[in-house]
Parts: sequence; structure tokens; C-alpha cells
Amino acid sequence: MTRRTLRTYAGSGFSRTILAAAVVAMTCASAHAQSPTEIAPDPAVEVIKVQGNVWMIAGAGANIAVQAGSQGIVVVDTGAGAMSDKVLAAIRTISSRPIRYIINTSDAPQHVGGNAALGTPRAATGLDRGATPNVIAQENVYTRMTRLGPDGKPAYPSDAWPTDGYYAPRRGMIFNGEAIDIIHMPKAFSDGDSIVYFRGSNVLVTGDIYTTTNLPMVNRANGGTYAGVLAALRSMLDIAVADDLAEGGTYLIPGHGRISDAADLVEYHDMAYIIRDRVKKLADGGKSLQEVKAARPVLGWEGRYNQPGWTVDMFLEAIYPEFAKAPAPPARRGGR
Amino acid sequence: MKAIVGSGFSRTKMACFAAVVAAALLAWQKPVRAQLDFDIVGFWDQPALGTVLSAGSGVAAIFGFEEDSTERADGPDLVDYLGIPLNAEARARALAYDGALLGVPEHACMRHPSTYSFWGPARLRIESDLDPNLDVVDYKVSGTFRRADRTIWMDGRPHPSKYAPHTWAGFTTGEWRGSTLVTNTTHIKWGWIRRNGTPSSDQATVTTYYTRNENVLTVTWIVNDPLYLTEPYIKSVDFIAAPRGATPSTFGVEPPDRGGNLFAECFSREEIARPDQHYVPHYLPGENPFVGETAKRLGIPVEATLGGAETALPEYKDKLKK
Repeated sequence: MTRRTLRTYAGSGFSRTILAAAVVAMTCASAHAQSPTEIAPDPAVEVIKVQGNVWMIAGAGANIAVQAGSQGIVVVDTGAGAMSDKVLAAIRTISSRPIRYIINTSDAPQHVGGNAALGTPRAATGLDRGATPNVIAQENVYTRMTRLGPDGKPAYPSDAWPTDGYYAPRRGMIFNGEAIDIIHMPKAFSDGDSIVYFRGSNVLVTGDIYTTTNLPMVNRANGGTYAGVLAALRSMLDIAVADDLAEGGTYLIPGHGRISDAADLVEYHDMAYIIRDRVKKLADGGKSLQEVKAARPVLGWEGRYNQPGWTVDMFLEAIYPEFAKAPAPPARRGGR
Repeated sequence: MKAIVGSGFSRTKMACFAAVVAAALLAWQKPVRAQLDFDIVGFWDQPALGTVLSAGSGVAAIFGFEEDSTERADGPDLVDYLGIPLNAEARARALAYDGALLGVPEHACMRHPSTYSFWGPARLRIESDLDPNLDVVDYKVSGTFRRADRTIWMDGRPHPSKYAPHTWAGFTTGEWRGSTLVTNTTHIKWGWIRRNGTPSSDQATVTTYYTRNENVLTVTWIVNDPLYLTEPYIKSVDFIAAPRGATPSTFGVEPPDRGGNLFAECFSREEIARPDQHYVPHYLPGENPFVGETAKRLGIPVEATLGGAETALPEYKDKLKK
């Protein structure tokens, strides 16, 4: 609602009290939506070969993708900061070559937490001096990680920052003989999401837009929207191709959880689609957030995806504002 | 031996001694013998008029559709969950199911998962791989609809990590218990336990019992689904030995020009008009038009067709009569 619109409403006799109440209600609804907290790391990390030149390191917070070859290593996301030693050890079981690129799919703590540790020359090469890895992320990730907080300090120390922010819809590169697409997914989990597609290996890294552990995560405070999540899931469906009889083919490394294929993505997309339609119908019928919660539009998946850091209630609080009807326009008074 | 003979040990006694030793050896080897006696390797067909028992015609004659006939061809009625121990979450998903889902490309080619596959049309070809000592390393069970072929690992290997991919067949290990091969399947994809949208989750596991009685192989499987079932769901099906491999051609593996590949190959394509590319046909809560249809046909309350553990029990009939 712009300032001009506010003035127009006020000038047309729209009660200031009602207007103030509406603004407060909308603000509260928005502020009430909490940001997702990712599931805790496992005590140990696992290295699993996905296919082609790509491995997944699991258990270090968010999943980490590693592409390795003669030119070196690309790491997509770096896990929780506390797990960096284990992550580095795991990477060294895959390749002894230097880390040349780090790509962050978002600025969520478990996706950038290891940036500083993995981004040093020693981590990258095993030597104290040498090439520092390029850290690539969508520019909104860069902006958030460098923004000064109330204490005058940035959200992350400078050695964790991306060094190479991109703002175009897509960044392409070839490394280890393989084309790699880094594609911006606007306003999905956040406003800085990237998915990374290793074309030769046929592996898609999804970030937190797709997980096998959570309901779709929407960080409204960071520009995320449910509509954007659905659009991103569809974009991923357009990239992923199932092999014979709906199994295998393109493999996905989700933000959290197990390695997946297109059929798993279809299941997750269908859930998101059905929940959207359920919530929309309730909201269109004038149901309040509390009434929507009581109607249990997530029934069918509650037990599977309800997590302490991203509960069904938190999810509904985050997505409800996208469906809630805007305040009714003011009744026009009679003409002069 | 000469010393024994020379010491007066009679031939009769020696024969008895040898027999006892042989019997002891046989007894000692019994576990191995049990496995050999009750092996399941071979061709197995569903009992049907046309293939094994006698001549016949029609679909039933070809694929052995007599047993559990309500599951065959077009499948069971929609919104018929009678006897299935569903919980509220599973019921909500089942009621959202729209059969048009099978017409969208993303779903058209999905295989029958291990939570269901033996209940579908199947002609089994069971093979084994042996190690240098002729011990079974694995059985390969193929021939279920859309070929979610199942490998049963017999070498004691562990199940994969929780981060490993799930498949339609899942990951299976097995062991012989007497004359029955008992297997445990994990890592199964989201799927179904009945072909009318009754769902199974990716947390489901399946215990399967392969029991052979001469030329009949009875497969009993128990689905445990902590997400969707309040109790284990148990099904069984019989197969008859088809030693000629007759099964006109081993179900579903004929070359395309012979028309036999319908169940083994699939090319997803547009089959219904869709409002958008990734359209998901489904019913919103309270809008499934098939609720009550089966109940009306069978003359039972709608509540009974919505399933639940209670509806599997004989006493439930008494409750309905009240």
C-alpha cells in the first residue's frame, strides 16, 4: 500500500481507525510469520556418489554438492560452520585437487556456514598460499551477508562473503569439462535463491526450495513467497527428466534430506500444489488464519514434514498472507 | 580302517557307524538343504484359465486375473478403503485422489511400487546369483507391472543410508527361515497400496514371505507405514510354477512389434487437456464426487468405505447391522 493510496483512502472518508487497524493487522500477520530454522546437523557426515562427477556430502547441515575433476573442485553450499572440519575431510576423500568455486544457493546459515573455512587457500589447496576460491551467489545473498546490523557489524564476517555476485537470471560456466547452470529462482525460499544444474552429470542441486524433510520453506523476511516456491518447483520439473518408467534420470540433491529423482520432485510439487489450492479455497471463503489452521489444509503430509524449526503452523502463517483477501475498499460516500 | 577291521569291528557295525556319521552330517547341513529344497528360482505365473490350468480366452486368461479380481483391469472402486487400516492423514490423501492423475505425463509411467506390485498383474521370473561356493548372493524377482524388479540380497549386506535414493522396488534383504524366504524392503518411493489412490509413504517398509508348496508359491507381504497405517496391512497372492517359461513370453518383455511390451515400457505423453503444464488433478476436501458410490452399490454405510483398522474385523459387520 503506497503512501498515495493511504492518503486517498483517508481523504475519501475512510475511517482512520479502521485504516490503522487494517495496517496493524497486515503488519502483524506478516511479522507473525517466522523464518524457517533448518534441521540440526547429524553427528557424522556421509559422502555418497550421486552420478557422473558429482557427490553429495550429507549430515553437515544443509546438503553439500561436490563436483570434482582434473581442474579442481566445485562445492555447492558449505554446510553449518561447526561442521567445516568434517566437511573438508569428506571433500578430501573425493579429491585432493583445490577447491576453485563455491556456489551458495541462498544465505541460510547451513548453506553459507562453511564459506569462511572452505574459502581459505589452506582449505582450498592444502597450502597457506594459493588461489582463493571464487564464491558465487545471487546478488541478494551478497547484499544480505554484507549488510550491517544494529551493532554496526555485518551478518557474516568478510571472509564468508560471496566474491562473485550475479544478478542476471542465469550464470553459466564450464568446469571440469561440464557445463554448469546457476539459475536464479526469484522470490522462492528467499529472494536470492539459486539452483545449480550440472548438465553432464545430470544432477540438479535445489537448495532449500526442495527438501525431503520439510514442508516448503518460505522465508518471508528475506523476500520468499509460496508462489515463488511453486514456480521454482515447476522450473525444476522442466529441467529434470526421468529415466525409463519414472525412475532415475536426473538426480536431485535437495537442500536437506535424501538424494531424489524426478518422481520424488513430482510428489513434492503435487503436495505444494494441492496445499495451495486448499488454502486458497479457505481464504477465498473468508477464513481467518486461525480458521485455516483449524481446517488442517496440510492433512496428508503433517506427520511427514512437521519439524520443530518449520512446523505446520509456521508454514501456514508464512503462506496465508498471499491468499488472504485484501481489506475491503472503502465505501464511497454519495456525490457532492 | 584296516586296524578297525582287524580288531574285529564287523562290517555291519561299520555300516551302521557310517550311516550315523552320514546322518549327522546331513543333520549338520540341514540349513543349507532347507534353502536348496525350497528354492524359488524359476518361472511363476498367476493362476489363470488360459496359461496354466486350461485353455481360455480374454484378458483374464492371459494375465491370470481370477484371484483378487476386483484389483484387475480397471482396478478397484474409487473411495473404497474398506478393510484398510488407514489413519486420517492417509484418508485425506486418498480422498484427494483424482484418477485423471494417471493421464498427466509426470505420473503416466510410474511403476507399481513394492507396497503393491505383487497384487498387480505379474509373471515372475526369479533368478539367483551364486558365489564361488554356490551360496546364493541374491535373488532377482522380475516381471511385475512396469518392471520394478526386486533384488533380494542374501549376503547380509546392510540397508543403505537414509540419504540414499528411494526406488519403486526399494532395497531388499532376505533370509531363509525354514522353508520360507523372509525379506525386508526399505527405501521405497511414495506410492500406493491400492490402485485407487490409497497412498503409501516413503517411510513405508515391506516384509515379504515367499512360501513354496511344491508348484505353488505363496507370496505374503505386510506393509508397515508409520505415516499412513495404524496397523500392518497384509496381503497375499499365489503363483503357479510355469517351468516351460510359457507365460507367453514372460509377461511384458516381448519386443514392441509383437505388442507385448505394454507392461514393461511406457512413454509419457499428453493424455488429458490440462489448464497448465504441471496441472495436478485432485479433489479438494469435501468435493470428491465418488464418496458414497461404493457404499450405495454394496448397501453399506459410507463410513465403512472410508476404511480404518476396525473395518477389517469380522465384528465390524455386527456393528453395521446395529
